[in-house]
Amino acid sequence: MAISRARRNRIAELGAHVILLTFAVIALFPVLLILINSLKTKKAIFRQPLEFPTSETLDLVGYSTVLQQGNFPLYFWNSLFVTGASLCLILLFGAMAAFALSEYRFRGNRLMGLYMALGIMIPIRLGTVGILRLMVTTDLVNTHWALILVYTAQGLPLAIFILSEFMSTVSSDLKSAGRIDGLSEYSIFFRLVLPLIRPAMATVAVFSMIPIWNDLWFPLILAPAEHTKTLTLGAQVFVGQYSNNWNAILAAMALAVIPVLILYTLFSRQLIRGLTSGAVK
Amino acid sequence: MANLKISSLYKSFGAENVLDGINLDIQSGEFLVLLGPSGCGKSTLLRIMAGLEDESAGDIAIEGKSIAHLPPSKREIAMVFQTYALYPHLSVRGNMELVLKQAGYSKAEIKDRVAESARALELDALMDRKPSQLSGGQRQRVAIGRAIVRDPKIFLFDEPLSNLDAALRGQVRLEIARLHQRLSATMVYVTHDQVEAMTLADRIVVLNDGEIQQVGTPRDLYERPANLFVASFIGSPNMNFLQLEKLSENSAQLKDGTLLPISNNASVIPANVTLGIRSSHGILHDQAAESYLKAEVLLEEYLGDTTYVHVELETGEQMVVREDPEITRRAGDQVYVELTLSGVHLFNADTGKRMDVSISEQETA
Repeated sequence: MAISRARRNRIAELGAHVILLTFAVIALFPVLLILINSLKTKKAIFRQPLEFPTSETLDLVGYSTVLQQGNFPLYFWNSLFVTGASLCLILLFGAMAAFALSEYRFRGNRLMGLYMALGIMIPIRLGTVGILRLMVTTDLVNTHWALILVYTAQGLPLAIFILSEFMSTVSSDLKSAGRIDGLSEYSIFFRLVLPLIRPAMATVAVFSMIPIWNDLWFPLILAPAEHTKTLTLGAQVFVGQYSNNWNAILAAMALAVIPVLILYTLFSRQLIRGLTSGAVK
Repeated sequence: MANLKISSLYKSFGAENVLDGINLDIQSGEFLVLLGPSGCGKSTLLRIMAGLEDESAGDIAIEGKSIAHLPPSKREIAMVFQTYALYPHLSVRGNMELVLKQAGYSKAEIKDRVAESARALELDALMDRKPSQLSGGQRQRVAIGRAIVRDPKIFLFDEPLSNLDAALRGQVRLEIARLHQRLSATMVYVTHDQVEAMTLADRIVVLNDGEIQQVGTPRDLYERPANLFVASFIGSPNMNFLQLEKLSENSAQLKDGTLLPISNNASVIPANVTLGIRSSHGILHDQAAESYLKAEVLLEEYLGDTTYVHVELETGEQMVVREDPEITRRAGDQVYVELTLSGVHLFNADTGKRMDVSISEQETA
């Protein structure tokens, strides 16, 4: 009896792993394709796109083009700075707004929450013309701040929505204890509440980071100058009207994955806790 | 040590009145328990005392000085919460030190005070642990320690035992009682558990629907409940209630016709009167007699040291009677219930108010 149950468990476990592995293969296949092809000669890319690089087809010309031509280290830095600064602002202001909405009773509280949530449904790109005009008047075109401000606005609604759910799970007794012990509202927020919602912050960070890192639209419109170009915009130089430099494009894409991968690994443990905290107690 | 005076305190959330004109004098050194069912406003009252909620109207004063306008940290109160509310990222020591640091005490004094409270609550061995490494009982001891270090004028307890399991509850309850003896501090304690209330309190305040029903010692509340609500809320099992057919100056007639020789001095006898009697004031007999109530046994609950017998009277009303556990009864048995007249309470069924009664038997005999 016990043996058969153990065996059945093992079969179920195996089944689950097969499904998960299949999904992982499907998800990772394009990334793998980019990685192996970025290491091959142009001919090999088109002749045997699915083959691993061999001694004959191995060619790092893509990487050398990317690193030599243009200002790729600068583009890299621009992307990192814009994404990092936007993330910090989204997390800081998102958490603060979520705290205010869930903690304080004030007139128009629900309406304010609803107004914030509306931002999730209406894409910010609809307002591109207005935003561009605003940036021109404030003289922010071709600066990092043009992008950081737009991305912060873009990320805030979802951040507030997710974080205010988590804020309300923080024990109100804890906040009361802090107030009685003489902590200011800021100390309560930074010292008591924020550490407790770290998993939710990681979730929001990952969800907000990826669209910002991958965005082409706003860098193209608001900051196309050489000194503010982001990685995605910079990679466009290899996309020509008649021919594309595939080696360089693939190499640029492969390089662009690295920072996202690093950040994701940093956040992933917290992220899983954030995603499952509602389901598993 | 300080007294606390609450005068005509109101609290409403929107149109709903949570507290409806509370007046309360808490003596210096007194252990006062706020008791009531959930949603009666007892926790709100405590949170207003602490300054965590604003009152809609009214005033709170400690030693004659109003504290209504002060923030929680300036009220010189300490509070112990149901969920312990320990700071999860700080050690036990850190939890106890925080309030003193915020108040700007010197390092030496902080060390002394924390060490002293730790000794008093036997927390010395736990000082460097995080709250997550403590058991429920230990956490609540730390929470109490955190309250003691600040040497507050008034201690507030918000259902501190509700999250503990039954065995620990008795133990921590004892610790709180000992703490009160040792510090002789003014303490206000909120609970919905009447055992906690009866065992800890100098005086109990029974709250219902945002109004004070009765204030008194545990004995007052048990022996002379002011109204039907207090009578039914205090005591376990609940007091039995029987409707009277007719009440005259020196007798009370039950619905089944039984006459009880009790008199009352009401100037106007109300139309509807409810008789209340606790299970310990009923006696079961096998033989009928005058003024015994005929009944049928429904169920017997054997508790070891005592037995509760549920019976149904001929009128359809049910009663619980305490009996010697030696005697066993079966469902369907015919019994006769004698009511001990000294244990009879009468209430005006319309207003719920208590009526004074005396036994007319002795006078006539």
